Amino acid sequence: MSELIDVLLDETELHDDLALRELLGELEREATAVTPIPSAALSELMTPRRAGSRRTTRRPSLASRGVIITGVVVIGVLGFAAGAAAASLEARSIGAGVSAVAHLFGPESAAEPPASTDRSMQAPAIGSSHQRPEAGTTFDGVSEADHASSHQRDGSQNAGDPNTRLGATGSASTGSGSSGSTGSSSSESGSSGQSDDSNSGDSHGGESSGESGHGGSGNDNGGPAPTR
Amino acid sequence: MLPDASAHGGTSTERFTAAYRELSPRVLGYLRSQGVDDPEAATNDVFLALHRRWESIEDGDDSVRALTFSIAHARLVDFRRAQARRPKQVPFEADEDPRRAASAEDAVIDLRGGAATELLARLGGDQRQVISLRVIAGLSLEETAQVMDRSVGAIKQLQRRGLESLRSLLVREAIDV
Repeated sequence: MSELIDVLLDETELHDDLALRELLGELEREATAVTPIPSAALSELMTPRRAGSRRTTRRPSLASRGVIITGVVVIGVLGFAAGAAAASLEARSIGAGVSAVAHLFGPESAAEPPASTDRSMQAPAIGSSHQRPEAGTTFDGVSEADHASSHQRDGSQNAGDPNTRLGATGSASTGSGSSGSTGSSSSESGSSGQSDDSNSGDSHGGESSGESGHGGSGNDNGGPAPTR
Repeated sequence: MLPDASAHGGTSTERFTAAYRELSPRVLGYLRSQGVDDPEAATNDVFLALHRRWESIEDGDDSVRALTFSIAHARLVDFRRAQARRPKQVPFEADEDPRRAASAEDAVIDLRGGAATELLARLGGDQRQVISLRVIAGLSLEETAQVMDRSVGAIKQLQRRGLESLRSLLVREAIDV
């Protein structure tokens, strides 16, 4: 800046005045000795902004959200199907569970049973009356007549509910001794309890041959129970 | 001088920061020499106003310097107008009473620093402004005329009278000492 002082003194024709030159130099040093501290607003303006400092929350695109939602739905259905497969005695695989779940939501599910080719799905149906493997064989030591008599009640009262029917079958097997069918199933306790009064365990044994035909009629009355 | 943006490849923020480092002491010294109450706050106001116009400056560092001191001069004019409307009220402080005789320590301190600024403060308003803009701000004759909205000839006359006054004051001070 001394050049500017020289220019100033030359302009005013005072370039030979050394005291004045010294004074002007001192004036410049005194005036520019202190650098002011910038205020907060000014410091903000002078702070270099980094590219990553402005962090914005980026939402996924519509297609990405659709993929995520579809994945969640598929995983949920598969999990639900696996749960159904684990809970049901008839469905032993996830695929069967998926079909069982689809069968639950289908409007025609109550009318006709799903066509299942899985052998594992047929295995628990042995206890049912319409898929009995051989006529005259016993199941857990119970005669066919006992099954027929039990399924007569089953077909007339709880033909639509396979769980209840299975419980009734189990009650017949245990009820062959005495009166086991009364306490065997909670779902049956209301209706079969009354029928148990008329058909006790002792009368089952005595009427085995005579009621075998009733067993067939019981199947016809009850219709094919849906197997799941 | 201010760094060239194209040569250094700096961003706008870096160029503004460089301008602040270069010019803020001069702006502060200019406003202080003109008797502004709070020169630091006024300096911040000047650079905040400069930042609002920063993107429109294209001519280089000379225009930055001239624009900065134009803003500072406008702030000074505003301050003087406000001061004229409302007289300044200062509480009495015994240390600042001019009737008080300075101690030997104060005399030594005054001799070592602040003497030039005090001599400048004794000049008249326009002469003091011209000398401040030429010496402290570092403006050229034309830039000073532009800032003060005067002709170049008037500025020449003012700076000549101002320098002669300073020289006479300096001689008088030397005789007194």
